[in-house]
Amino acid sequence: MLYRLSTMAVLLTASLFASPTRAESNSTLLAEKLKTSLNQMVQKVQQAENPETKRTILSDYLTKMETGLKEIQAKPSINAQDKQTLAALEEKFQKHLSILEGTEGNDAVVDGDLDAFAGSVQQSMEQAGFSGGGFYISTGALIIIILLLIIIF
Amino acid sequence: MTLFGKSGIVYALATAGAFFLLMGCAYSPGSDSQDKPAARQPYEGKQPLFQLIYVIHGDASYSYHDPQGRRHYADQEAIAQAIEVAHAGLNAEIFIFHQKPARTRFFFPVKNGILFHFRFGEKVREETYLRYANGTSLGSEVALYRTYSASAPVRILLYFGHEIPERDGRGYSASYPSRNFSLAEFTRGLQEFALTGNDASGSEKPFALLTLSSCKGGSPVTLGALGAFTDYILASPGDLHLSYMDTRAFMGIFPDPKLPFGKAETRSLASEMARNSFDKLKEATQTEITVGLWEDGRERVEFLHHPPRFGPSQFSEADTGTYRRSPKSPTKPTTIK
Repeated sequence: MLYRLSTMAVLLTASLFASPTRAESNSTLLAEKLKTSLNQMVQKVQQAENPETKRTILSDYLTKMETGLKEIQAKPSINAQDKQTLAALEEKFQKHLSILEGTEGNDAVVDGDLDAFAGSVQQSMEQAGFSGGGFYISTGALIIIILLLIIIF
Repeated sequence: MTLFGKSGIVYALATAGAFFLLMGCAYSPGSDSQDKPAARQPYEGKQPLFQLIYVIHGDASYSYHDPQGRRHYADQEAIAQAIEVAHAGLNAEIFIFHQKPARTRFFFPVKNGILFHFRFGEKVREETYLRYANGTSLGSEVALYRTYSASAPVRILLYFGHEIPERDGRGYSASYPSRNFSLAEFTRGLQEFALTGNDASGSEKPFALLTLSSCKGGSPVTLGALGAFTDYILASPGDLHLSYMDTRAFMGIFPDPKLPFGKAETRSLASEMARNSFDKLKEATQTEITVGLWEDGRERVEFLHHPPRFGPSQFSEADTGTYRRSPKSPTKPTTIK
């Protein structure tokens, strides 16, 4: 019995080391989480039955992301590099919000275009929102952002 | 020793050893068992007309969603498209490099790049390799290219990835956060590719065409840096959706290319690729689309622009030249020559 237990212990340890492991980087993990949350938002907008509900979902999401990212930046545990990344993200969400609401010289999105607008926000963020060199994020900031996403959804 | 006895430990170690071997055999993606050079019969005594080098970066977040909410992976789709082109390349030699995230096994790095090598429409090699083996961003790819490359009159490089940073590009490859991949690194890679002789080329420059399927590949700084290497650059000066450029125009010219295949033919091919990409992107995306073609990195010979459906354009009237939305055909692209 002991032989078998020892063999199993060795095998278990061996399998841990033998399997190729991929350390998901913080930036990739964050980007994937945000892409998932954006997709959930788009699906909710598409499934909503009336324009008021669609607009509320969009506005709530963009506002919470913008204000949440701003609040995270104010935390003392966030380093300068994280702040830079978070500020860039915040600005992108803020721009989309101003288009939705028709502020800052933008034409407001009309009721019939809300589904398309949600898709446009998603595509815009997916293609350039979290990409390119210099997109760094620390583990501490990542945890806070993921908590933010959990609160939103 | 007293707990398990000598024979128990030997038995356990032997079993673990066997398990390691089995794990090694079972782990198959891009296994080197496929590395054996295939028969070269179709290649003997015959020279390819085209040589395409696809470099597809997959070491970052490359997922995107379609309107139905389905998740896609841009790098995998780019590989599929490149392989489709490669199968049609009956007069071509095609290298497809897929740069994947770093992994380790037993604390040692595992090969994380895959080369698909095609000649005359047949896959002759599928080989895994370790990225950054010699410390430079494209060094491993260049080494394989030098090993297997033939000469071809028309050499074209196609890069698929996120925006290549003009300056600090640390973190570009997510699993190599301290490695830098900027425009300077990319240019160095092009130089290394170019150092591999291409005796058959009639052009003064190493590449007939450079396609950058990335955001802002057509920025003035990028064009300026790359113009010395290529007759034409096909790129987007703005953001480019992850569904990428469509390079299947090659499939139309492979069967019956106009010979000799010079600059005019390259320009015609690149223009078709630009238009196909633009149409594909316009159908699938609501964001701003810009696709341009430049000669020698300076003269803009084609520029297709579609404004974003929502919000302001990234481009002014001066950028887009005489861009105007046609009232009769609102979705018709404006071509500025």
